[in-house]
Amino acid sequence: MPHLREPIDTPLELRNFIDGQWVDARSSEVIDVVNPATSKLVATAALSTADDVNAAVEAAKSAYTEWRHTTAPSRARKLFALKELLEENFEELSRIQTMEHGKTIDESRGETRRGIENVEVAAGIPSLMMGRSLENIAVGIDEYTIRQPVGVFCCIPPFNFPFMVPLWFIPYALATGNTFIVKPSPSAPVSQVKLCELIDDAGFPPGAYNLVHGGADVATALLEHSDIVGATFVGSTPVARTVYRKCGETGKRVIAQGGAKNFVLVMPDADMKRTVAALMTSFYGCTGQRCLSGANAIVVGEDDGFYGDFVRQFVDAASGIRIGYGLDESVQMGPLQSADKKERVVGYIEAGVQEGAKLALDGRKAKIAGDYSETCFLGPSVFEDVKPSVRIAQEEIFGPVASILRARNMDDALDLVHESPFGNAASIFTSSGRTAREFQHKVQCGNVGVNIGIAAPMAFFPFSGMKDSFFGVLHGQGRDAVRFFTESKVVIHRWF
Amino acid sequence: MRLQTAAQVVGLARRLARQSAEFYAGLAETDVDHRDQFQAYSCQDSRSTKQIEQAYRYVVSDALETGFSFDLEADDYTLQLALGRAAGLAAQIGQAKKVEEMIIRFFRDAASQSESLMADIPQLFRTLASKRIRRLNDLAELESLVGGSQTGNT
Repeated sequence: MPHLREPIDTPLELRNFIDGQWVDARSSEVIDVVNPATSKLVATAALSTADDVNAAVEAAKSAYTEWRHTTAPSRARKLFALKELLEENFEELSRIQTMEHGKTIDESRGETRRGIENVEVAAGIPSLMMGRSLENIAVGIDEYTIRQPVGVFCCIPPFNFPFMVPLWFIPYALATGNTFIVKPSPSAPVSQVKLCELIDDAGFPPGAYNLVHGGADVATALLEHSDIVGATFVGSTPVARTVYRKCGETGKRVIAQGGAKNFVLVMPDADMKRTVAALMTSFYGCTGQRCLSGANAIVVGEDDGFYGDFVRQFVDAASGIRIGYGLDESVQMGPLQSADKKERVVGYIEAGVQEGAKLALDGRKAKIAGDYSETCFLGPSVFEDVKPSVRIAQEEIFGPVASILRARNMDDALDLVHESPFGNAASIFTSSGRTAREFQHKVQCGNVGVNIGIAAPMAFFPFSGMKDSFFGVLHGQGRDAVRFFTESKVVIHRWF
Repeated sequence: MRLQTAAQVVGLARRLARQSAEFYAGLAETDVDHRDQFQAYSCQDSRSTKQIEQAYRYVVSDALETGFSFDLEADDYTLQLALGRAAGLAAQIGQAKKVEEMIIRFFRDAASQSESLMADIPQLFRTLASKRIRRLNDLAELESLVGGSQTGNT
């Protein structure tokens, strides 16, 4: 199958965007951004230094003074302009994500759309940012709250949703009058650069939005900077915990989203055909590299026939998944984002076999559509008869590996869910409203799906998370984000 | 070719609409008496191409089952468009009816399989199918008129 045209034909040299200008980093070190499907170089990104961070913070601080006084409707109009530009560049943005990350074009378009939805929601800032008031709290005295911006914020997004995750935060931060610095994932920074160009074209003033490429050094410099008032992070749990601690030490507000090990309960009354179809997206969408991916499927009940049917249909469906370059529209699953990440997943497959789980489908033997090197490709794997105590059932694999477990009833299944330290997402597949409601009520996790394999909240709802999957109080997206990026000021007034 | 992803199915929907638009534009050129009607069909088809694209782009989301929603065979929806300009109007209308029937079948099949996508996509497919049904009826009416006049001539 021919693939769609690649929007990048010669490797780009990515620079920092500070104070409204594209500038070189102070270090000449760069990191290669490689298309994981074709192994071709897509770009090189600067590995910036703490001095580059300082320059970005200075620019953001300086811009904040004026930006915070811009009216809410005026800020909203800039977001409307940005929304139009994003729509015009929808396809190019999506194809870039496929090139830098490897996900399929459908998945990239979905990521672009969710990003745009956040811009749309934030464009409603004149309504969202309103305070509350009460006349006559005492005779002749009124009281009201106003929401005000706080200052300079930063964002440290992950490689798996390189375009969308920053947009859980950027539109709200800018809409509420703050200024912003993003440090894109060094593995997949290209779509952020394109976004930055569009933000500039939309007319945001110099310094309101800044971009600094780099690795852990840049992240640390941002988190330790005393002039940054808040940080948002999405990544693994150990790093999220560190970010949370560092923000506590430096007095920053923080949203730190960590890892996940998501459970999917398949009840005996589930619609098998539609459940299996939904679970393909859940377990293998984005090649399993998403924090909402299904990881452990628990087949509930003692009916061996039902369990056997489920495993057979799941394996059949997974073994038919077409793997290849995501710019081929017929491809259903792309490569892992890098060879290292593939190696890590292969390690888990080997561990699963060693620990006695039955490998019903081995992704290491996958067939790839097209003439591509196997470097980053891995097919879907399915383990069955998985004991809850083994590593593949407990740790976040972040790849296309499904573990199928069993539980006698829903309470036993929920015990398994709750033994996990993670609490990002959980889903149930059932045709019983009562069962679904009970699950929703009892399950301890932030994003709950009922007959939905990927419980991804729309932009006007918070992207939730609990336990070791989330550190903080308020979440990204929607009203939570507006609250996160604003301070509540209470005014009590009386006129003599 | 087997179609499983939303991108593929939307691509086929676009292609069918474009082919149909070209087909009716061709008919409008050859048949002066019914030029307005065929031109209108061609314009409607061009518009529907945009509608399909827009519906897909506006609802495609990171949570949807875009990669696993469909199981259609592209070859089942191949339009037979080659008809010599010398063919009479009755034959051309007969051909147009076959085009409509094929596209209606595609839209219905695609709609029934896209329930796991957001409702906009199956809804649009159904709407486009119902518009095509109306057109099919109009073509049948035209065919009977043309057939009647041709019978009269012979």
